Order: sequence, then structure tokens, then C-alpha cells
Amino acid sequence: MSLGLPGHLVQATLSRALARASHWFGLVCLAGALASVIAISLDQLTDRLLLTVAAIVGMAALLALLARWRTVPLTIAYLVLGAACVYLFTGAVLGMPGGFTSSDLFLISLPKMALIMVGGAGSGALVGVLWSTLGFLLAEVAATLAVSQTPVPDRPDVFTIVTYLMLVGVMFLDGLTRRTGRAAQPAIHRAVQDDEARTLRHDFDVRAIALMHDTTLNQLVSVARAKPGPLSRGLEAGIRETLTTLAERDWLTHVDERTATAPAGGDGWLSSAVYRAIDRSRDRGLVVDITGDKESLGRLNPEQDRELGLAVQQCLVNVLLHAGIASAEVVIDADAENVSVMVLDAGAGFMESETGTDRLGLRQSVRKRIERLGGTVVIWSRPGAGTSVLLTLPAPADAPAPAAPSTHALADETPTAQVLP
Amino acid sequence: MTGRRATQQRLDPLGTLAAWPLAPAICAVVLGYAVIATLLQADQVQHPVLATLALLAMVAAAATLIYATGPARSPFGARLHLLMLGCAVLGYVLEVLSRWGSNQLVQDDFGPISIGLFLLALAPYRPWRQIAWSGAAASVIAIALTLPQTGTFRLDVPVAVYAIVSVTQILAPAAAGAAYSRRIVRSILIWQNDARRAIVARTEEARGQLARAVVEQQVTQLKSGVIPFLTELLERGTVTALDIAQANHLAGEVRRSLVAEIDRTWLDSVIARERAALVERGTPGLLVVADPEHRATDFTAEQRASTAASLAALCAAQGFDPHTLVVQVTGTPKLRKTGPAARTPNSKATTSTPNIPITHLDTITIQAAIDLPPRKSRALLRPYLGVLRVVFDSVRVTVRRPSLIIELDALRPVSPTAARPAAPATPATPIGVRAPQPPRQVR
Repeated sequence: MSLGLPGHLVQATLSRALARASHWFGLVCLAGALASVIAISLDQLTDRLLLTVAAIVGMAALLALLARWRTVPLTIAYLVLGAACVYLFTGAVLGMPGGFTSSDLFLISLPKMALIMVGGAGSGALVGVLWSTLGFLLAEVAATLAVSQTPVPDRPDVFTIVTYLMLVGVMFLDGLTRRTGRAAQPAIHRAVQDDEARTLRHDFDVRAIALMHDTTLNQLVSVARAKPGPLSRGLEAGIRETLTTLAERDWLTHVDERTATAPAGGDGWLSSAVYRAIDRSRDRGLVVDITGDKESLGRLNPEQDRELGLAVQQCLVNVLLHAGIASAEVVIDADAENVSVMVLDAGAGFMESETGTDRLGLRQSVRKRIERLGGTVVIWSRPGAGTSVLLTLPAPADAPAPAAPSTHALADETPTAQVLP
Repeated sequence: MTGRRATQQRLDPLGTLAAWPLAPAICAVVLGYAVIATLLQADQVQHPVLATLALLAMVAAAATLIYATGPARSPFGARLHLLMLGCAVLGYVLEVLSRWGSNQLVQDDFGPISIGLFLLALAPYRPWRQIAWSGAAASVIAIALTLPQTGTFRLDVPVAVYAIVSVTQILAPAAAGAAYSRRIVRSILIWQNDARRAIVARTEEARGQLARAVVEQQVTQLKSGVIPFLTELLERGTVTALDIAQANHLAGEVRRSLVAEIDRTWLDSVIARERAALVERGTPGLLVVADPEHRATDFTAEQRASTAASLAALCAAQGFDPHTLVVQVTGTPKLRKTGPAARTPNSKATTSTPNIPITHLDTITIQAAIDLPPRKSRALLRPYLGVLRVVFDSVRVTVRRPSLIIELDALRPVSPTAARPAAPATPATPIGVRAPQPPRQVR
């Protein structure tokens, strides 16, 4: 998410990042200094060189500590030990007989640059500049002192001066140029927030529309297809059910039910919304054959269960309304990761081109519902060859499933709930 | 965004926009130093042509860096990174060759420190690992170039010291750049995590209110027609021809309103809000969304948010003509030629049509009229474009006063049709019942 940093965090964050960068710069310089001293020691070992090695190691250790805790005492300790290290290092390297002819060497600058990179305690460009200036002055004083005790002529150390100036330049630059884009950042943060709210609202809309479709629209279509005369038993039951749903149901719960209470104990199949959906379709005259691993429906969480039930109900309603036959088959299957329900009929079938763009059943009540929960919907259909709808929802097998004996006789059981899910 | 690929530029485009003067400044330092070093050590140069080429290679590296970090060209990609590094290393190699046999000191070679500073300049733009690896690779090259020159150096110290000097000049700035990149990315990711949690929490608070609004809207629609109709029908117990006609009519109405609601996208909502804001400001306008295929739904959250913010900025800008804004969303499949090897044995379709879409290109085109000098229009949009360039695959801006056109491209991979599963055989529709051709998947 490209949020960017809000204004109040910018300075502290940048200051931390710059300090981290300067610490690494310093550590590499110290590593170079240490390696050089060791390389020189292999040639001609002196006590002074050994002492220098110890000082560099100590300075590097303090810098590592400073990188972790940017406190005033540690900063001061680093500056003091660093100055001593610069003095020892400069004296030891330049004091070697026959080695170096002047003091303006990159090698000599290494510990000095490390001292500038103190990136001391506190946040803000000015504080950083002050600590670095202190480091620069201490380094120059210590080096000048050391050089004066050797026969080598003292020349200005361009490397250290340029490094110091660049560091100060970067700190000022970051301190100053943060002014642009000030109005844009909050606007983008607000847009991200708005987008989140819009997405939630859309989610609610989709669910409300699916419910509307399941109840109202399907019922109106059934009435429109009825023959004039007394209401048939199925139609009457359907209308009554729709009105109950619209009048008594808690719409709000349906649109936004975070956690539905799971049916306590009992049979995974009989308490599933899929079972209730099939049961209702049978009330309306559809013959439904059920095969497969029915108990696996117990693996679904309450929301999945409810939504899968509604999707299956819509598929069965489609069979009733469009397939031209009164029988369908429901196959329940499960593997280690998923639970799937397939609704099949050997009815009229359809072609994509023949379904109007304004048709909502499959699109809204089935596909969107299942896909919203991370599942998939695959539909196969051809005119004359029936229709198969495969609904798959992710439900790992290791999820706690309600224990239930698999030998329940369905006919003997009263459905747990005859009301709508 | 995963930590591996994350850069400050991708996570905080606006912050990086503010840091852009750093790259030109570093380039000026590097080029100035390279020229001065070459002139001051002219006596060591054996091959002036190579020395000139070395300077030109450094100029190329600097130009690449300035081009890639320019505000109009984000994000900074791996190719330009490699090109810049390659030019800088080439410049170093040419410099060493131009002085081969008479190089007195390593510390005054401009190659290593230039490479180091170039890598330092990448800190806000490239992932820290890539900066660090670049430094390591350049260091290896520096050692390989330094060790063979042993006999020519002026000072009598172990050759390892020379190698250490050249490597440190590369590694110290590169390590600083990598450390900055790593630290700032971490800080931003931590903040984003917190921010996201806060946004979710705030949205949760509004949840109940939102749900109630949705329900109210739906129930109000039904109460006027459908519920009284069904109630009456149930009470009467018979269906008349009039009822059937009425049911047809109501079903059509409900379906139309549902479809209209479903097809409403985030872009419609954003524009509706801007329209309301314009009315509030006393300048009602005509804002148009042209998205007949509802392609707006395919854009990501980042793309949606940054587009919405840009549209809001545009509508609130001085000189904006509220009757001119048109937001259009179009899509085109991007085709790739496939060779015979790419065809699957049973996919006859690909034999006759060798072009198969591999990605889909969706484009949001924002057109408006703003009566501002082009310079001011660009300045107004610069921060937003900085963000848009990071979240979209390509962004084009055309400013011809007063017309302003912003085109935002998003690429999306298309899943191959061959991957669709076949329907399993079942008692209701066994394999034999089905036609030999594969069934069509219906959406």
C-alpha cells in the first residue's frame, strides 16, 4: 500500500535511517583501517600496531552499540575513544620507517571518517550536524597532534573534509526538501481510508442484493410463470416464505453477520444450511438425490455454511424455474483442503449467449457469494445436456468438526431448523 | 509489497520525490572529481583516448542515474540500475587501463569512489540487497584491477593495503546506501502495518452504520410495491392474469434496480462524491464516467485510492472547469505471438489464431480542462503523479492548456482457457450424455 509516511513521522524516520547509513559507512571504514593495520603488521610487527588494532576493535564495538542505542553517553564515549584511536592509528601508520611520505592519505582518513559518522543521539538534521561537526573537529585535532610527532609533513586531508561536507549536505537536504507534497500525503491517506469504507459498503450491497434476489425476485418470477387460478401448494409456500423472510428476518444480521452462532453439536449434515436448502426445495416439489460425503459439510464455518446453503438453494431454484424437469442431484465431496457441492440436473441447459445480461441468479446469488468467501464456482451447461454447477469452498480437514455418528437415518430426524438460515 | 523488492520509492513515493536533488548533486560531485583527478594526474595517463572514454563512461553512468531518478520516471527499475553500474565499472576499468604501468597511487583514482557514490545515490530507489550486491561485485573487480599493478605504486606498503583502499572507497558508501534503504523500508513497513490496522479499526466502527444504510435502502424499495402485492396475492389465494402481468412488471423493475446497483463501481462512487463536493463549493459540474464494461472493478486498492485522490485534487484545483471532466476506462488484450512449441496438442483454436492474449491492459483516461499555465498544472499534479507512477504500470500526461489528459495503464495477466477443469461424470449427467465438444463455461 503506497501510503507514504505522514508528516509527523518523517523527521524521526529519516534521522534514524541516516544514522544507520552513517554507522555502516563508519563500520566499513574501521574494517578497512583494521585490515590495513593487520596487513602492515604482517610485514613488520610493532607494539604500537598491536595497540592500534585494539583501539580500532574497541571503536568498532562502540559504533555497533551506538547503532543500536543512540544515547548521549554512548555518543560521547565513541567520540572520545574515536579521537584516541585516530591519534594512535595516525601515529602508528605514519611512524613506520620508510612507508609514507605525507599525511594526506586515504588510509589515514579511515578512522577519521568513521568518527564523523557518529550519527549521534537525538533526531533532526541540526542535532546530527552538530554531532558530526564535533567528530570532525576531534578527528582533525587528534590527527594533527599525531602527525606532528612524526617526520611526515602535515597536509590537509581532503577525503575527511569532503566526506564531512557531503554528510552535512545530505542532512540539510533531507531537513529542507520535505516541504513538497505536504498536501498530497494526507489526501492519499484519506483516499485509502475512503476506499476501505467503500469496499465494505459494496460488500454489504452485494449481500443484500443476493438476498433480495433469493427472496423477492425469484418469487415474482414464480408468480409470473404461474397459470391463472388457485395458488398451487408450492407457490403458496414460496410466497409465505418470502414474506416471512422480508418481514421477520433480521435483515441487518443477514447483511452483516460477523459470526453466526454455530449449531451446537449434533449432526454436521442435518444442521447444515445445504440440508435445509434441499429440504425447502423438496417442499416445493423438486426431487433431489443426495450422494457423497455429507458429513464433510460439518467442516464449514457458520458463515460458509450459511452462504453455501443460500447458493445451493439458488441453484435448485434455477432447476425449478428454468430446467424444465423436477429432479436434480446434489453430490457432496471433500478432500483435505476443500469441501465441494455439485448441483446437477439433466434439464434444458443453456448457452451463455442466451442468458440476458440482466440475469442475476448465477452471477450474484451463486458466484459472488462463493467467491467472496475464497471459493470457486464452475458451471457447465449446454442446451439439452443439462447443467452442472460445482461450488467449492476452502475448509481444511483438520479444522474441528462436530463429532457425529454417520449412521443417522435421515427420515427419522426432524430437521434442526425449518426456518430459513 | 514484499520486503525483498521494497524500496522507499515504492512505499513512500512522495518522500522520495522530495529527495530527488540528491542524485544530480552526487553526479556533479563525481563528474567534477573525475575531471579534476584526470587533469591533476595527466602525467600518469598513458593513453589519453582511454582516459577520455573513461570520463565519457562516467558521464553515461551519471546521465543514467539522473534519468532514472527523475520525478517523471518512477519507479527506478533493475535494468537502469545495471546500466548505471555497468557504465561506472566500465569507466573505472578504462581509467585503470589509461594509466596502466604508471599509476602511482590508488587513492586518487576516481573510479572506486565514483562507483561508491553512485551506489549511495541509489539508496531511496533500489532494494538494499541489490545495492549491497552491486557494491560487493564492484569490490571484486576493484581487487582484480589493483593487485596486478603492484610494481608500479609509489609507496612501499603491502599490496593488500592498496586493495583495501580501493575496496573501502566502494564499500563504505555502498554499505551506507544499503543500510539507509533497509532501515527506511523497515520503518515505512512498520508504519504501514499500524496505519492499516487503524484504518480497519475505523472502518469496523462504521460497520453497523453502513449495514443499516444498505438495509434501509433495500427495504424502502420493496415496501412500495413488492410486499403489498405478494401479501394481497396470498390473502386472495388465486392468481389472475393481471397478477401475472403485475409480477412480470415488478420482477423487471427489481431486476433493473439490482443490476444498476451491482454495476455501480468505486469510480462511480468517487465521481458522485466529487460531484457533491462541487455542488457544495457552489460550482456544480458535469462529471462523466465512461466505463461500459465495468472494468473499474479490476483495479487494485492502491490504484483505486491514488486515482481517487488525484481526481479529488483535480476537481479542487484552481482553474478547473467543472463541466469538462471525463473519466474513461478501456481495456485491450495484449497479444503475444506463439510458436508451434507453445501450442497444446488438443487446442485447435491456437493453430488457426496464433495470437493469444497473455495480459490485459486496462487504461483509465482522465480528461479535464484546467485554465492554468502547463508548468503550474504539472506542479499541482506532481505529488499525485509520483504515487500514480508507482502503482500503475505506465502513466502518460499530456498538458496543452487548457486541456489535460492523464492516462493510467494497468496490466493484468489473463488465465489461459486451457486450464479450465472438465466436468466430472455423475449419475445425472454421465460422460456419454454430453456432447463430444468440451462444454462452455458460463459466467
